[in-house]
Amino acid sequence: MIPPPLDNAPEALYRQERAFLLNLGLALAFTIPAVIVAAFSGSLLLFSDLLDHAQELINGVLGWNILRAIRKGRTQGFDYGTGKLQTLGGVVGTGVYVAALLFMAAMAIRHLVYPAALDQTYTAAGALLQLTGFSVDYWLWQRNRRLAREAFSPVMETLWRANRADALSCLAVLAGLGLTLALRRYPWSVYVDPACALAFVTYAGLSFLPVLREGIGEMLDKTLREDLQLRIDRHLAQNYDGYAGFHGVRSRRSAGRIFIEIALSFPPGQTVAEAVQTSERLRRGIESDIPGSEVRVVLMPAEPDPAS
Amino acid sequence: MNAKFDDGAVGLTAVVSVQGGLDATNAALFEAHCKKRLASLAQKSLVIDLRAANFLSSAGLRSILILGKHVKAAGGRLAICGLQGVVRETFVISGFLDLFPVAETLEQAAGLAGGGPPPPGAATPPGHR
Repeated sequence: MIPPPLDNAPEALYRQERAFLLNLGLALAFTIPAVIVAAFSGSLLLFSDLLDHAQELINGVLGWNILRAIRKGRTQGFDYGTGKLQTLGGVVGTGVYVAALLFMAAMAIRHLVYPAALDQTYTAAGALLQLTGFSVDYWLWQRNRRLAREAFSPVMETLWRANRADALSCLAVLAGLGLTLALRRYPWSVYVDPACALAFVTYAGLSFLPVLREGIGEMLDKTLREDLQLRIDRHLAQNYDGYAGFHGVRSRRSAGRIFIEIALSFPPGQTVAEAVQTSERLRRGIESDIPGSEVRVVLMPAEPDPAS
Repeated sequence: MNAKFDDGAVGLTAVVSVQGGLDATNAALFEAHCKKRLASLAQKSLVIDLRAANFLSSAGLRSILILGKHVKAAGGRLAICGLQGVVRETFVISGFLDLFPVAETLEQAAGLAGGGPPPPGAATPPGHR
């Protein structure tokens, strides 16, 4: 029996699930003070950062849900863990996020036209919170990157990269708040906060457009260009005699990488060595043919004899 | 993409003809249709008639691959009929031309799928499985 892929081993899945729950718990713990300081300081930058918190929470729930589905074996039908519904959820969530960013951009422009002074105490508290947030996100970033490397997993890859983005976003907000506080003696300092908020939401919006595009592409099975899909098919054809059943191909792009899963079944009489040899040949062939790809062969139960 | 699947039979071999394009939007439907057709006729071999097909994507190819394995598991054979134009090109690029016997007419394809001696004029690729 060929062992299950590393990130699908029950122990690894538990570890990944715990990592997501920890992320979720910390995100929740930070949300309440973040709302308080944003509301009382009047800082648009802190308000914009709340969107990041909301997105973090949504991603946490989605990621945890995906891992739970994998662990409970709801992926026997080879739906690549997430399934279209979860992707749709992600895209809808992203759409709401982009709409909120647009709203924040409009608010920032309004505050540039009609500037308002910030509450210094709560702004300073906000800066302190951002510093704490940066420390926590930095810790999570390092921890989850280690976990992702231990158990090759696209989901964990996404998580540590999100932690890194959060850490950097905390630094950016901290810099903006620091600037507002440092320049408070100047009358024009009232423009610093909305200007920083506008820059923040613009950057966040632009960096999210590819995610939205990718999500929609995934729902339409267009994560890979057709010529690359045909290359996968060519390798499947070249190794046709090495497997008994073919159940599908799923691909996903994440952080510049292409993750490809190929579901195959092998004849009961075949030796493990032969099955591994076929899987390896397929993996190496596709990975060398499609730059930036990581291929995994998923074992599926052999198809029952249609004649019986 | 719009496609129509027509059922037929040549002797003891089931035939499913594709009109239009076979892509991600209808590949699963096509696969299910063929399996159902095989089950309803209690037949093991299948001819996929692509004479009226004008497009075939990677998803369409994969449905043919799945059917090839399905038929093989039942002890039958899968043959392709009428490759032309862009569909033939897709078969060539993907290396599928070497996987299944290809014929120009339904009778020839049924002969290849039936396991009997291929009729004169049928193109049997070297080393097809």
